[in-house]
Amino acid sequence: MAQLPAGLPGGALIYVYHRPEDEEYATNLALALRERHFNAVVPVFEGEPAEIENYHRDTLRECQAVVLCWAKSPEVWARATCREWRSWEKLGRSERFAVRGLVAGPPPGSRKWSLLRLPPQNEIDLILDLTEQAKPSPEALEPLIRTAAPHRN
Amino acid sequence: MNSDASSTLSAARPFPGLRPFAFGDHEFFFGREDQSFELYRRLDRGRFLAVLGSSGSGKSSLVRAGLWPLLEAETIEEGNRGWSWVEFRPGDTPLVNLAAALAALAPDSDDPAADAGRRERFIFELRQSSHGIGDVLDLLGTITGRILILVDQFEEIFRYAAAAGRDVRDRAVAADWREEAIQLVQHLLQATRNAAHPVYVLLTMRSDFIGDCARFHGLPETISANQFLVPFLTRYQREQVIRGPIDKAGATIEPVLVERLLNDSENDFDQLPVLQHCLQRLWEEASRCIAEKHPPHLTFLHYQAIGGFEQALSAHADEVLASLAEDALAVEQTFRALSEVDREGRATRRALSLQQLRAEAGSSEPILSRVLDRFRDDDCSFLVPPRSIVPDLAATTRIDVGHEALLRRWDKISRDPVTGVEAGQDRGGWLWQEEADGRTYRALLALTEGGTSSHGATLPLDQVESRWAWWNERPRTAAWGERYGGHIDRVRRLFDDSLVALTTERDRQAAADRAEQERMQATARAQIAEAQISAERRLARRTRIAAAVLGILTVLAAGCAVYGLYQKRVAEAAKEQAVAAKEQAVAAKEQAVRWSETAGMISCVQEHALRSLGTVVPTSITFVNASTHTIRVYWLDWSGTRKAYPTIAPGQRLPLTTYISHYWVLADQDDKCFAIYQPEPFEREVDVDDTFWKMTHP
Repeated sequence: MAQLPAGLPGGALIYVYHRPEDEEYATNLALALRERHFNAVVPVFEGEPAEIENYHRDTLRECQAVVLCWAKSPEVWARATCREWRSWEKLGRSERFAVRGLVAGPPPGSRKWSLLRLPPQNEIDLILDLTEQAKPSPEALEPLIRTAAPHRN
Repeated sequence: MNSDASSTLSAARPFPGLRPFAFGDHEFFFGREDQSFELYRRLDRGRFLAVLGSSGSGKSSLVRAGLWPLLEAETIEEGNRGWSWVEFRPGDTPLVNLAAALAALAPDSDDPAADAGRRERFIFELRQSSHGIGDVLDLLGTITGRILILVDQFEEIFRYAAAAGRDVRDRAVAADWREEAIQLVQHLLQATRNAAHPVYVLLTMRSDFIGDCARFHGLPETISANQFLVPFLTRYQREQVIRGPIDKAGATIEPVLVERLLNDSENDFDQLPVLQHCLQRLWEEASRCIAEKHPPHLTFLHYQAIGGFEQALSAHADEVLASLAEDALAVEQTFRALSEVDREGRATRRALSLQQLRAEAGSSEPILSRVLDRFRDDDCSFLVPPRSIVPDLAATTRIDVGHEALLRRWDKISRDPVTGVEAGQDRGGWLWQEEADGRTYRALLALTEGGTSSHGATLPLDQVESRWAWWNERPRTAAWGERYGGHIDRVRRLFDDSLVALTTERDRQAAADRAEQERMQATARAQIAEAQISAERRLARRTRIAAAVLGILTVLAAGCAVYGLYQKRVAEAAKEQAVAAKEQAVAAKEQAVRWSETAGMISCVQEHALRSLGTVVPTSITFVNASTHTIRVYWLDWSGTRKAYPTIAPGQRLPLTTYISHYWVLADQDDKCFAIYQPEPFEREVDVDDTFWKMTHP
């Protein structure tokens, strides 16, 4: 697992959620966000299941924005994760997410293409189709950054 | 491998009724999408998940028709990295059942012997170490991707442990069983920590058993950290449950009926299963009213016709029962065997193999098949497996109640006993009657303890008949006896001994009654003889007086001729009286002789108190009608009711094979009893001639 630099003080907390198979792509995404002074964090995969679950729920509750990083993971996982973000109240949050983004990495595919064009609107606010980019660049993340930027501390 | 995809649901039948949804039914599974995704996400983040919920919350349906399709979709997308899943219920052989489930992961084989050998090997591995599941997967070798083991109705491991521990005799069995249950839990927990094999474990369990988890080391902590409590559906989700399948089938439903269903199911404990059953019944009712191939329109009138939310289930079950009127006892026996009351007084299912069910219920194979097939038809699903999925039941097929809601809702099963009335008036539904029968059996068994020889204990004589009637009211098989402590041979011997004791006591009582009768008859004869002597003395005195008067009158003879003639007539009258007295004495003598010939005869006034008893001493009796009247013959049965036997015309005879403790009533053509016979331990012939007839028809 690539090591992320420590969170930036004052940076808005963005939870870059992904599956283990997309770890490399997600880490690059998080690093790109950090370059833009966001405090990007990724999920934990090792440890007791209860601790992993607690970390996930705590981060969802505390973060300002969430980004679903979907590259090699299956579509059903992406849909299931989006569904989790539908209601911010049920997650124990005190306010809405600044943005609920979906960043699609490679490989491209017909199902991915379809979901990116017809996303569940009450679950995802922003779609970034980066399926042709092997590594997400800070520039490519500009729409996401613009949406989340007002929430920087 | 993965769950059976067969489905009974279609546009022609979009609701499953009482049975849980199966994997193949997922296209008609609505309103639980959020919960399905939640399960999926939980499994994505951990390898152990306990799905908890009250009975009727739809745990099994959620997993099979909600989660499985998501895993299937992921598997299709991911290929070899996808999921394989197996499921089993602990039952009373948890490790064997786990082994059978794991064996299903192996490629299909045409060799049953090899399959059986593989299962045996797996059982051996599971019993050898706590890493058994990993070892079994090593043996399987070819498995790729993630493996999900579903343990459905996990609470069975607590129920069976409790049941096995009830009887002292079964302590050893209970200890073995508990050991196996502990091993199962350790295997499951260990498997989710196995780095070599990505094994996931998912349990479904009734939430009211959560406290029982403390019996197993490590289980409470794991369940506490990885549980999903199935919530009640919101009104919106329930509306999806109602409208989704109807829309998919191209049918329609009155909006007012939707509202009514939502309101009626609002706070019901059995919300989901009863709603599903109601919808299935509504669909059938509406389908009857329209032309074939046209989708039905469900209306409030249909809802009223099926009895509404409260009564639909019980009324439907009654309807199915009525269609099996001739097999009503077998139906009762079946549901008694398949249900039980747990320690907390809750009605719970008690799944049995067909073989075990047949042995316990004591029903013949054709009758039991008829009952099971009807109750597992797709139009009711009161029993599972559904007939459309498993047309022919094998001896090892597990038969279960479709849903516990049936046990709680069907009046025939769950009606509470009426308290404060005399026993026998209303013992409640089958569930409570069976529980009471179990207690009675255990009490009888306790009486036999320490008296296993032929000189064992007997029941109190005043209870023998009622207990014997209870014993004979339904089949009491050895397998049924095992449910409540076994040793049915000892209980049978208790009854045999008690019946013999009762017969002996009855015979002794009858003999005493006959002696009393004879004493009274002797007294009567003595009184008659005394009367005769008195009459003779009076006659002699009158004769002497008459002679004296005649002597005096001789002196006055001539003048008193008329008076003389008068005196002669007086003398003749006295003579006639003497003759009559003599005839009375002769008749009394004949009657006395007759009574002596009627040993075994009982007065008709006792008929209301008599009833035949079971005994093993056969005998025979022949009634001979030597009279000029027709005689009707009746046997008094176990309850003292007359059972007609052939009528005996004048000059005919009726030989009967009977038992010494049976009673036979002889009656005239008006059915008026004139004699009752209790046969004696030797062949006997009873003559009824006109003299006897007159004697008994004064």
